[in-house]
Amino acid sequence: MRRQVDRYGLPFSTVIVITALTLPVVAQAYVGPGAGLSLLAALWGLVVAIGVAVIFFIMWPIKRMRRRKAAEQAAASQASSEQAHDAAPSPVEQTTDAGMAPADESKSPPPGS
Amino acid sequence: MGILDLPAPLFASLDQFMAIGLLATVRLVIWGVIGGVVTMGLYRLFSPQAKIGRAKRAARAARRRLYEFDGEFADAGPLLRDQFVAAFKHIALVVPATLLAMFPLLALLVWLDATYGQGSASYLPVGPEWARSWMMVFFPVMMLVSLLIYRWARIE
Repeated sequence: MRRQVDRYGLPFSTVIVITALTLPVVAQAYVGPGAGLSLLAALWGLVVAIGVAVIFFIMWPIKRMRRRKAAEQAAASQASSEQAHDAAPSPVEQTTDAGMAPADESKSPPPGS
Repeated sequence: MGILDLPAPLFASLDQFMAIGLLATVRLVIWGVIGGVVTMGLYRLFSPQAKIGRAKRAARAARRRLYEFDGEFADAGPLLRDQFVAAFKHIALVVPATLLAMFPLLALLVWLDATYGQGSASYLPVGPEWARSWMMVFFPVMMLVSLLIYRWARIE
């Protein structure tokens, strides 16, 4: 460290002093309204880009949660509709339960024939 | 004598010519018109208008894509990068022309302040003393002219 300070200290301080001496005492700057508007629009674009990125980071977990919830709801509704479909009796079972012989059985030959 | 004082002889000779038949206030109005036209003309001349228009639209589209993105987080990286690249590209296209257009106006302002800003000269018939300076004539005219040209010429 000491060696580096000895080596670069003088050139570094010389550069700083020369830079400080060449700096203007008074600086003037003005941008006209037209070109200024264009520059402001470009800078505003950067601000909006930062804003959109921040919103994206904030909204990401919320969006993901909503998406997961929607997927769960869709899966649950599909499962319940399948259950309902399985639980519902078929037309054959309905007629058997009511004591009426199904059409194929009535046509079957009597035993012993 | 700085670099901004270089056009001073040109400004002075033009002002002396106008002073033959015009009041100082009218001359300031004309300087305002000249300032607005020149600064907008230079900006229009040096700025890549078509590229700026494309960069503007690209930045807007990139922002919209990111805002409407609904995929995995890892896939959003390129969209984030795209929108920042588009925004910085827009700035990079606008800044050089803005700086170029700024210098003549800055030189004019330095000369106007040296010529019309001496003492407590008033250039408006009414209003408080502080509001009668050359700036109150020059800047409104220059701004109005610049904004009209900005709108009329559809400058990006």
